[in-house]
Amino acid sequence: MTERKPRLLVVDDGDRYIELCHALLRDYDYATRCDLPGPCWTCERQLNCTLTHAHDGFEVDEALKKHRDVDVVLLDVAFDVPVDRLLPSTEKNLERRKRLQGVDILAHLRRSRGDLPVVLMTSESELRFADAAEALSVDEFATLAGEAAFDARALSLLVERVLARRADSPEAGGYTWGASSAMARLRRDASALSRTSLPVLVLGEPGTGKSALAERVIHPMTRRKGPFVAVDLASIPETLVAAELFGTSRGAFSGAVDRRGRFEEANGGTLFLDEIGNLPPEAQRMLLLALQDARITRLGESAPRSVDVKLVAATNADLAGRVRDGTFRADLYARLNPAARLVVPPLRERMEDLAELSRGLLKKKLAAGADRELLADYLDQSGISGVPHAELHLGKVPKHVTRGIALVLSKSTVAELQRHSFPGNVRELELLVANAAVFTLADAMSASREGRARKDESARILPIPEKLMRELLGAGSAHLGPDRRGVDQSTFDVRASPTLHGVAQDLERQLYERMYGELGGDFEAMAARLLQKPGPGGARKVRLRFNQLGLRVRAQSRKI
Amino acid sequence: MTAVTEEAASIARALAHDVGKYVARAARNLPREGNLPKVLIDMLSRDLYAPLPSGPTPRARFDALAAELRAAGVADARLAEVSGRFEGLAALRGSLEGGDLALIRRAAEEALAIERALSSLANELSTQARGESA
Repeated sequence: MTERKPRLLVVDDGDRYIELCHALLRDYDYATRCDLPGPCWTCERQLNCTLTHAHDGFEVDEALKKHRDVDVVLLDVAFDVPVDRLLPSTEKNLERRKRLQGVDILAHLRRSRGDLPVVLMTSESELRFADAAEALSVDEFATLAGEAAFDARALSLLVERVLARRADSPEAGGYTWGASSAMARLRRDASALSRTSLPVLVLGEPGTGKSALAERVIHPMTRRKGPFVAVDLASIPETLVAAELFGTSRGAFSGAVDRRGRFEEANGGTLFLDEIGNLPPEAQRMLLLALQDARITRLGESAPRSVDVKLVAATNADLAGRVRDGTFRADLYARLNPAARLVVPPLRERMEDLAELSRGLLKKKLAAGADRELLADYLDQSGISGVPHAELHLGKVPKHVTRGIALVLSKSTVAELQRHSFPGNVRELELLVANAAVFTLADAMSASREGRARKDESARILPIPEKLMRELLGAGSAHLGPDRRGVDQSTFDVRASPTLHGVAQDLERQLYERMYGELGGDFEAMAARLLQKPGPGGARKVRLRFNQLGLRVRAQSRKI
Repeated sequence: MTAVTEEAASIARALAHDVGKYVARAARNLPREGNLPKVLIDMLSRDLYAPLPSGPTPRARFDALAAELRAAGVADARLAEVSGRFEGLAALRGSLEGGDLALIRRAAEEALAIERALSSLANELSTQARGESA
């Protein structure tokens, strides 16, 4: 079984602490097969070590460029290194600068990586909080190790805690459940199914977060230490799907080599098959056998291999319909455990989560990379000190901003967002928030450069222009086209019922609910869509039927 | 009692960091029971007797900083205690290199006692210095 071990970057001026980590952490789930000093990334032994190290701030940059997948940084605080190896600082006292160089390295690191957990390897007595209050108090991902710094067992537990906390954070793309009842139900069901060996079928419209649910919720619950392997079946040519999933042996076909398939790669972990409806017939047969026997056979081989994989399959397609029309195997469908399927609701059915989702998506966007640099540059240019940080405020301008900046959406923009149908779901919202933040920051930078902005506390509050949001909202929906935006391209969840009338009524309810969300509660527009000649009473008829179906008008309704 | 200056507190912190932390590095991580891996015994030996990253051996560094602390007006009994423990460690050096398990464990206990003494001294003096300056 391949385990994903946490990758650590140890930063210390000497080699002693690094040596200790290498020697001791091997007993605590880290691959530390090396005891040589010197940068690991130049090591010729290629031991696949999950520990790497750096001796100063400059080497930290080098290490993180080389190893972008570092999970946690263990950072010493005092650095007895030559002056030219110290990061620039406003501190004049050299001894104090060396004593707190770790805090400067942390601040430097935060410019580019807001989401990277850092454990400061020091006891509280050594680093007085007052020395680094600003750098530490505003940083959710910096932890003081205290006594654990020098105890391998305590340190490994600390790293585990830090990683678990990070996994839940918006910066790291943690799953946002929100407060809607649909999501509460999903959470309960996902939790129950994750703890079984049964396959999980996830249904939902595009952009609702099916793969995120698989990776960030289902996988960590049971197979956390195993790999998570995702395969988008829609992006693989039909003729290659079987080879991709089950592997090949040399000679299986012209040009075939000995190669593991995705099933073997996921052994001990989770295999996520996105767009399962696209699986071609031969691969469907092989997948069925794999699910029945927990064994797969590479193409060109006759001996099966055992695999232990939690299968999560997702689709936006009507699988039951495909079973009926004969394009999807009924026995495979039954194996996918459709009775216990998880349905991720579309965003329009959980609009109460809009604020929480938007705030989390902004944090994620500005956690790392070029966008974080942009935020850091704006803060520098505006004379705002501290770790780069931005909060999204919806409909209310904050009185005081003590940390970083506030990006503010006006009340009317929030109302417009709530009326929007979000056909692209959370993915559309993610792009919307990202674009709004980046354009607003870039405009503020230009204004600041041209001397049009004030360099005082007001620079901490950036309103997101209403016009910009209207343009972004329009652009986000435009790709569907005015006559395609609506229910005609959506799919419905067909649920068995004691009577056919019940099935039809359920489908009708889904249709009304979806159309109501997409048209912002406009019954006239709904009537125009549903009736050939709606006439003056059309909206009233639609509203009546809407009520008969047990649906309720939400606050956003505008007409009738 | 003489007022504790920030300078004295700073020297005490250096003692805890430069001496205490380094001598206890491998000692605090030794398995409590059973045989000790050679890699850890070698590391312990280096912690106790080899030069520190800053140059001198732990004992020489201790002697220099302890003298500075005394000159700053701090004559704490823990300094004499740690000095005695370093003498004990010097006597154990040959046995340690010979691989005697009981003596290796005793050396590790001495190292941890040094760390505890220096750490508590640094904490106390830092607290007192903050009190003086407040």
